[in-house]
Amino acid sequence: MTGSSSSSRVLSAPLISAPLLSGRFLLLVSVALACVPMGCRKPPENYSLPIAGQQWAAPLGEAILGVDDVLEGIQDSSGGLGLEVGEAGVLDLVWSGALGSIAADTSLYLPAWGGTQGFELDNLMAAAVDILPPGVPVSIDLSDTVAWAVALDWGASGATGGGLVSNDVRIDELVLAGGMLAVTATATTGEFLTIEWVLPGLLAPDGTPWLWSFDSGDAGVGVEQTLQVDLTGWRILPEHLVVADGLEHAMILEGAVSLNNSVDWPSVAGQGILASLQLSDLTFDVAWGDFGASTFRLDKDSLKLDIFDDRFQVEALDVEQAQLVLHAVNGFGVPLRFDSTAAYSHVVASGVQTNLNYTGGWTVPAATSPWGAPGESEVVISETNSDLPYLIGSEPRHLVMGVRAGLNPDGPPASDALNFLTSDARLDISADARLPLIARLHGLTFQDTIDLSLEVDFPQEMDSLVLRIITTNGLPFSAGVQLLMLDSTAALLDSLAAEEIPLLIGALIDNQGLPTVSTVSVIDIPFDADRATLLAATRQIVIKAQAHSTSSGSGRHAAITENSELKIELGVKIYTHVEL
Amino acid sequence: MLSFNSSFISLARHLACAMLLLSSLCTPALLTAQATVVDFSELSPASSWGNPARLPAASGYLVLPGLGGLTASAFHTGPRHGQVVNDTGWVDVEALLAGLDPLEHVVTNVQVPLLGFGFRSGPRWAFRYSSSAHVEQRTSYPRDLLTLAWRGNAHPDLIGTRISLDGLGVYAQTYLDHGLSASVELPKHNMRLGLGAHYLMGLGAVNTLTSRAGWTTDPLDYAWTFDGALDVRVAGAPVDLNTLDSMGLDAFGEPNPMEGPIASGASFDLGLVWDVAPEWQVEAAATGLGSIRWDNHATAIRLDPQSFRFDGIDLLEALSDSSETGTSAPEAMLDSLGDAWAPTWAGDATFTSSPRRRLYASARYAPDDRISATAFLARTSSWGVHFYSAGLGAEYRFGNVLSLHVLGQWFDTEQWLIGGGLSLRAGPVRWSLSTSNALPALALYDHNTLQVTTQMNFEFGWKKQGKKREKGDKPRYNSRNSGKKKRAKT
Repeated sequence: MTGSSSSSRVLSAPLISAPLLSGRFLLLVSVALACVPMGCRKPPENYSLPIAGQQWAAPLGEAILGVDDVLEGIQDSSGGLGLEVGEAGVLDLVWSGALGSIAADTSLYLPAWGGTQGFELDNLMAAAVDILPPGVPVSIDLSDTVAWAVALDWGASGATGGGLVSNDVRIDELVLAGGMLAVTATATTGEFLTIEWVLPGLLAPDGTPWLWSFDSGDAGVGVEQTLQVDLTGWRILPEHLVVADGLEHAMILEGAVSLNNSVDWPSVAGQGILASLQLSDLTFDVAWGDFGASTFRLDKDSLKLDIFDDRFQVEALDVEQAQLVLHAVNGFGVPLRFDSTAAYSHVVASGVQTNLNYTGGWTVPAATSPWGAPGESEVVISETNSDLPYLIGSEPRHLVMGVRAGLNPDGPPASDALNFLTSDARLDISADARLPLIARLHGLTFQDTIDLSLEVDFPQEMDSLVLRIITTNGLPFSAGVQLLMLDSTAALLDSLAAEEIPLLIGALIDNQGLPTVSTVSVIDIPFDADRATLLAATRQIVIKAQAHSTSSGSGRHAAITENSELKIELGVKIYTHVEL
Repeated sequence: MLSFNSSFISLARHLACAMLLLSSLCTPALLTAQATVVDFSELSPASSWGNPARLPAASGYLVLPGLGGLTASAFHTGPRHGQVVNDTGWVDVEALLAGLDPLEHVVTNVQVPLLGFGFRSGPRWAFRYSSSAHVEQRTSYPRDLLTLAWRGNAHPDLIGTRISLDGLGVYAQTYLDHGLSASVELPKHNMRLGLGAHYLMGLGAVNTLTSRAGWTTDPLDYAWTFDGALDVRVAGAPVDLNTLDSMGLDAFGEPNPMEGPIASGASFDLGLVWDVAPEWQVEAAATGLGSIRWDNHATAIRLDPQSFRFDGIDLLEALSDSSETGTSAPEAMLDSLGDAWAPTWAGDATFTSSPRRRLYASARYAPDDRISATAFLARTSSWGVHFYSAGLGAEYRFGNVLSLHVLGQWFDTEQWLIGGGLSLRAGPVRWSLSTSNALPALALYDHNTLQVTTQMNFEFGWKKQGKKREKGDKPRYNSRNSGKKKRAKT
């Protein structure tokens, strides 16, 4: 620059006038050409540059956590937990599942039944038969009643307890779907012998009682005849025997015997005929009767709710609302009445049990007919008629939603409206639990220790970096965190912040506890070579966190709505010194 | 293992080095828009190409292939070397950045005469023919490119603002110029007019029609927002678009001469020389008024205008990993980014360019045959960018054998150019040399311009020096009294 300026000044002077140009021009040109280099500096032999102190910033990433992501830590054993949008956009934690069911075909137990019947000639009768002329019969009437146990078992399909007392059940009629009647008759006398057997309580599809005739003919001693009857479509009308502890079901077998003397075979005392009957593989289509007034219970233990594991401690978790809807579909022809006093929760770790305080009843009507619509009914148990919210707590716990039912709550059925049971009938009880996420969480602390072993490479050109964490919190919950780095002797090396880092600041809420304004928290965590050295020596990191819902100190509840989300952004700012 | 990616540091270092190297190389660079010997000396036959109204000093001349010399010049609009480097070699980068305009340019030109001749026809007319090869280029770079490399995007001066890389581009063309010109004297008006016409045959060109790029870093979350568009046209070689899968050059083939010129165009020159007084002369000229149309083997490289915001990777996706696809989330993000900004190639991308265009006006004072002084204004255009300058020059003659000239020129880019030269005749051969800022090239590094012109031609029609001009005679620089008519009196 110096040379340029001086040169221009020198050159401009001779141009002012012609005489000056003509006389001195050569000299001035020479001076100018000489002065230019003289006025300039020589270029340096070596160049040197300052160290470039650069600052670079880059976004590392972001994550937008919806409510689903935030709440995915809530575990349940059945996997049936879900989220639904409830009133005012508040999210409801819902669970749906079956409490239990009873199938009729496994409930009514029809045992095999059998018996023998016959007679033997005594000495007098043997002598009398032998002296009678052939063709003059001797008639003997036989009749027998055999008890036949019928049981109804209501404790099927995973239910515990229960089981209907058999002597409380009166079966008046069974329409059989299948079964077999096997009869064997053996004559041990050589006389001409005929016999007719009747089961008055076993009716063929046409309504006639079962009847079977046996004729020994003149074959002599040892005639045997057998019979098998398919009982599909038959009906059993059992007799009822009053015993000391109730009723017994029975079948009556009647027989009519006729003997004619055979001159070829003398009668001997002890001879006669013996018949055996066996009812087996009985299945039913419909059973009618009076099923009594017994009670049974279904307990559902499948829902284990883990909101916080044992790394958490909570001063208070108050749930404002909860709802349990029980729904029954009764395919049986017997009305039921449930109560819910069996609902309770118990803490897994301590076993402390909290019973549901609900005193209301719940009647489920019977099915209209064996082929008609089932009876249906449901009951809603909520904070308005029970203390259900108190069953929810911060500790891992089992929610046991059991039900107990009694049959014929209005008394024995009328004779023209008997209880009935079809083989394909079912009693299904399901539950829908709904927990609106409106709660007051106070004093939640979390602490965990993580083993760590890192190789930290901190480039020489890097002076430091600052990790920036930005949280935009639409959830009405605040959280602070502190990370402590420990060496192999558990001595404290460093902490990322002397004070707790306000990682999340709870969203503001309105009077209903609904979040209104998301809050932003910007956290800068510096990192340099010294801290990198400490991090390399770190063997354990202790994570301490505290959380509470917005305004929990003032007792207010806060809600999580469908639009609530948590946005986390990570960025880094790097300070470098680069030698060029 | 926690490892900070050292490639980031390496990238930053290389970026900074590259930018500073570019700057330091350009700092003592050359000049293109300056006046040369052709602007002052009638002794140079080529002076008529600066103003077609001029008459060559000799009655005829011939420029032969390979012997005509060349003109080379370069020009950097940024700070001078001495402004950013002290005597010890310490580079003051902050001064460099402070001295930069938002957009700086490096312009180079090379012109090689291939064949030329000219002659006078009678006392009023003169005709010329010239063929020459031209290589012209301009590289433009934004100030923010250097600032970014030196300070980083998170510097308080840059974060939150748009780092503009707009205008970054290369403009270059090579063409052959076949020109005819004529000048005629208007005796009643003491005036000479000139007109030139050129056929321009293009050989190759690169033209950055659109170059916009911006990078904004959010001061809160450091998110990056990129915006930009690009439209670069290339002509001169066939491109197989089917094989283009990257920015590689493999798809470029060899041009087939049988297919005709890559491009063709025309330009015109206009000139005026007016003897306003016996010792005063005024000139005005406009050269390079025309264009070249590149319509053969022209290819476009485009990036559609778009804006892209980068918030980092999706942390949830990264944490869940994408082992099923074998591609990590960051890789997928970069692939997506690359797809979003993938250039498109297109053939049939005709475009036009202009030859170096110059507007020139001067006033010359010549008290006698030996001495003259000239003041001038000039505007030179390079692909739409104009460079303005004003200067003073002087020439001293030793008969028809030797002349010397000096030059001082100031540019609107606040730069000075100092130069000088000579013109020497030996028999029919005339050799001219003109340099600007090159004469003291070993020491005068405190400039960013340089220009060298050397010419050699064969002249005809010179006879021995006539009688010394008497006072009151019109100077021989006034072409009306030069040449054959003048020599006839002697």
